[in-house]
Amino acid sequence: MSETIELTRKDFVSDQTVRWCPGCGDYAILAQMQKVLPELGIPREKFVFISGIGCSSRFPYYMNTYGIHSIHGRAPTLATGLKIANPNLSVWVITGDGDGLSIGGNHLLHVVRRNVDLNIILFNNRIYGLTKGQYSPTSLRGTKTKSSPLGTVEHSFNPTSVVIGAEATFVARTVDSHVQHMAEIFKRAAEHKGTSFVEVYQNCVIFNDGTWSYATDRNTKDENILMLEDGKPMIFGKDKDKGIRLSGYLEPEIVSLANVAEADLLYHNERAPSSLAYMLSRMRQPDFPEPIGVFRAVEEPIYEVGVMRQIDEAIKRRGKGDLRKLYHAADTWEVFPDAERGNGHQAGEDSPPPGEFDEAYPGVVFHEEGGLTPAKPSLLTDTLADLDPPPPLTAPVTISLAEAVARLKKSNVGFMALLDNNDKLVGVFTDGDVLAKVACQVEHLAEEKVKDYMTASVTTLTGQATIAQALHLMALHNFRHIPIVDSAGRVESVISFRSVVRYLGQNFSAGNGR
Amino acid sequence: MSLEQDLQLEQVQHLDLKNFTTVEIGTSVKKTVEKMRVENRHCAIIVDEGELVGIFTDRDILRKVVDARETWDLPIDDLMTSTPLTVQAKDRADMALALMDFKHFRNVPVLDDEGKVIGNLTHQAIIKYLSDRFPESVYNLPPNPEQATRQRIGA
Ligand SMILES: Cc1ncc(C[n+]2csc(CCOP(=O)(O)OP(=O)(O)O)c2C)c(N)n1
Ligand code: SF4
Repeated sequence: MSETIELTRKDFVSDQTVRWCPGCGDYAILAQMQKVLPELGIPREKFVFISGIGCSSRFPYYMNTYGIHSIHGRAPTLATGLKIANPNLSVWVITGDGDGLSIGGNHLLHVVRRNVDLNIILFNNRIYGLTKGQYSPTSLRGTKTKSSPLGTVEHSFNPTSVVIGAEATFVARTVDSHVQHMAEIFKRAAEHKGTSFVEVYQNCVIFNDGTWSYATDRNTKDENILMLEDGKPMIFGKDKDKGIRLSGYLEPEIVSLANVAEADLLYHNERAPSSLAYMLSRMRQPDFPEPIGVFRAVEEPIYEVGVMRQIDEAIKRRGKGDLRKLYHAADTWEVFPDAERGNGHQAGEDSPPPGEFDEAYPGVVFHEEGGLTPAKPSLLTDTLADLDPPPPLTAPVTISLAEAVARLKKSNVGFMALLDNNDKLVGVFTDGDVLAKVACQVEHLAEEKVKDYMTASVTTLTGQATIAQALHLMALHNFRHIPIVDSAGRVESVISFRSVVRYLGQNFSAGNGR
Repeated sequence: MSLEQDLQLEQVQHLDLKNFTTVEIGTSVKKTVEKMRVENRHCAIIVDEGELVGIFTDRDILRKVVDARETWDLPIDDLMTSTPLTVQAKDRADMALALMDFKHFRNVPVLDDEGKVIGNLTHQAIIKYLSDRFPESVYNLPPNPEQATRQRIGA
């Protein structure tokens, strides 16, 4: 009998130190990926993350899955090979605007054109982050950078337009700070059969801060973003009072819903001919709200399926091949290393020792220690201990379900920490558990043990964790309480959403927050 | 702008209010709890032909239902909180928050001009609002606090 193991976000978190700048948008993308994968029902050993080179391309290190940090721009190539060799894998390509559209532009086009069944996430920060801020193919015309001191003179690439031009079967766009939207898009991408391409607007706080602010600033984003929903009219604006209509010449125009009926607006259709998706991809600030969501999702033949079918047919007709025979069938010759012929580069002379090779890449310099400013003060530096959180209701893990319910009721709280006989935290029992597992399902509470109904895999923080970290977990998981433990795993206190809200209300006055 | 000023200018309807399930009056307690569980909601809004008549929350389940088998087959009307306090879609968000804080409410139904329920103001809505307001500080964080670094790496 096969057993399915319930995966959680934690199963996808690796033990590697995450080496992105504080406040980098890459973190948000990582968090959503780790949240979405356990929901896909795919065993962990079937996931492979393949990246090229760049800050974004460090992603595979932080995923507790198989991964390849590959060659600059060539992740699609490795991914294609891997998918053909083992079509059962769930393959994810992680790339940046530089990696995927400069050096790897050609490879990206062809993987999309072939419709290999894999998922490509392109982190677009409109800059080369890793090499310290040179312009990239998505930098807007006129952008001044270290490599374009007078401003770029060329037109920039629009990643969604590019892949639609290559006949992509799934094209979507999302934004690093719209986390729920991002999670939904990742899920849709995973479900699509064929190449899924997702552009994520990602903020590089160090070299291109605020490049997407019109789409992320809470005061303007609703006016500047158009949420695409299949089958729905294209409506936008904070008060949902504007829409997109087609004028003559297949040009979109913005209309007010005060004058135009909903039925006359343009309706989104993910399966429409790609000219609709292309037109949507051309809608850009400041003339139009920029669409996010799924531009196009259509079914087309899948590359590896076709290739495998050909191989099967060939084997049926001509029998299994013999690689050795093939090697020796035609003219063969041997190639000698240069060194042996005495006219080349002597290994070991002036090449760097292998371990240092990475750091010898041209232009790659470590930031000076301390040369970074954390994104914002207080939220990132104030700790949970500063909030002076109260101790939680605790109980031995051995008590009955009836007793646990009675104690919650008596204390009038919705959260209880359960301890073993060394006072170590082994689980929590909350009103959420009551709703999910107990109410109207278990009749004789006294005969049951609370340990069979508690949540055993508990996410905890230490008192030294920042307030931002607590908010991060609450936003990610809808937690209402997070236990605070000491280094020995003993619960010290519990942080509730209420105390976080209070803190924010008190501490974020003018100019302090972001 | 400070958070207080922000919340003064924000209308309740612009928060994420989807966190509820709707149940018709007369539905049994058991069916109500089941619907909440399946839809993963902590609050049921009880309606009579679309009109709000009460709310029923995870708090009520803990207090009145979980260890009282005799309540399971009762109609939800017997256990719900009738005519709960509500706010209007266009009310100021800071007022609604103050109300929640002051009264220790965890769910406040939101009504439109015609008195129809358009949502439920909850903790999740507030956490999401706050997180969205400080996205860089909240969303852009490593999976575990100890996994952060101050030194950026090269390729
Ligand atoms: C063959 C080769 N050419 C150039 C480089 C230098 N290089 C490293 S990363 C990079 C571009 C990274 O940009 P992007 O893909 O946008 O990633 P980001 O760092 O912004 O996430 C370049 C040009 C290299 N490492 N190898
Ligand atoms: S340089 Fe930019 S893209 Fe790279 S880790 Fe830092 S903030 Fe992120």
